[in-house]
Amino acid sequence: MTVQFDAATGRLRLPRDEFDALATLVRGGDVDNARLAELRSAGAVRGRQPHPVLVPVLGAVAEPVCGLRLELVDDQRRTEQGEGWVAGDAAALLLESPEAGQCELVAVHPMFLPAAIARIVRLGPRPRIPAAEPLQVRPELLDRLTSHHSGVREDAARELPPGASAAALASGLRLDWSVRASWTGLRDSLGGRTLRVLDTVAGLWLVEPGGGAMVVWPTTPTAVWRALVLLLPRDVELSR
Amino acid sequence: MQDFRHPAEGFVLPVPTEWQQVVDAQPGIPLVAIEPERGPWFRANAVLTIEPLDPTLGLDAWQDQALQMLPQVLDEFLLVDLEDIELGGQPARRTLAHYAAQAGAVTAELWATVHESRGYTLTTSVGTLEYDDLVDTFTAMAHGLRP
Repeated sequence: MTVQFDAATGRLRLPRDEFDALATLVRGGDVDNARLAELRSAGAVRGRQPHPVLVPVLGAVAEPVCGLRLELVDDQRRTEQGEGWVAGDAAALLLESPEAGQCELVAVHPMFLPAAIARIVRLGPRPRIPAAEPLQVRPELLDRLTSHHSGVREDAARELPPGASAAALASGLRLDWSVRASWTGLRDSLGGRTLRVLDTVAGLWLVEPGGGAMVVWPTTPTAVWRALVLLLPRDVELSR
Repeated sequence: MQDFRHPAEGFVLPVPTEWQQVVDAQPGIPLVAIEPERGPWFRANAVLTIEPLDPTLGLDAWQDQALQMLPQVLDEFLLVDLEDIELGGQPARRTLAHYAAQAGAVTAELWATVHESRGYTLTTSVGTLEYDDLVDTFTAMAHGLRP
């Protein structure tokens, strides 16, 4: 069975196409009968209604106040992605499963989103980077600085101003992750915040675009936690 | 903020003026300070604990032991950060963590230092989505602690 649903925990694992069908269903659209049969067979749908356990989380999918996109790239350049939807009192995260083609839908109250994201990106204590200086680097150079080949990293570090920052940035990548929250802001403008973090052996870095290059700032788990706490829009930033 | 001085223990801790203070709530907890009530939300608070330590137990060993206990007593415990700092010129450790309470998601910061073989821990807690609003207050409280 490709769709697995546990009504006791609300845990739902399914192929992306099946999730899209479920999302279409809760938005009131038409869904192919074969897809509906899969969802019914797993118990995720009864008739044409989602299982009651899934109603709040799918409500966030159907009418989100804020959307989320997560991307994680490890030192071998393997990518994991996730997507999220946040409503007033419910949020959903759809995460790629290591099993090819499978996704997992995770329900979480918005107040627990920072922790949910922190667990996904494995945020935790890290060494402090001794240098406090930001570095400006071209995207191509940043790729080489975070290569899994130490020789490539060392060569790339020589292209930076000498100092502790260059050595720390080239210390070896654990994870390059980003999360973007987007929403409809005042007067229907597009609102959003993006947080990109390089998790290296020497410590954490914030990555921000800066005039054609990237500006890479040494940071700490506490600062990243503060940024996660502030990721979602405040009421004054929303159109409604 | 206003300095609170404990009548028996003698320590001084700056506390937000409008926060309620409970003195000697339990043995080993000489002060609890809590923000005014405001509906169903988690009330930000600061709890100072003092415990006698084995004189051979230093700050690091004491805090390593304490850290092992936290996941056992707090639901959905997540360790976010550990930092060696100084409080009042003394070595100290700051621990940042998240857990689930009945009133919701909580971010807690533990500020620990040792003075005359006694371990002082100031635990400052706030609803997670309000952490940024109070982090400067908590930091000022911790750095104003004088055992």
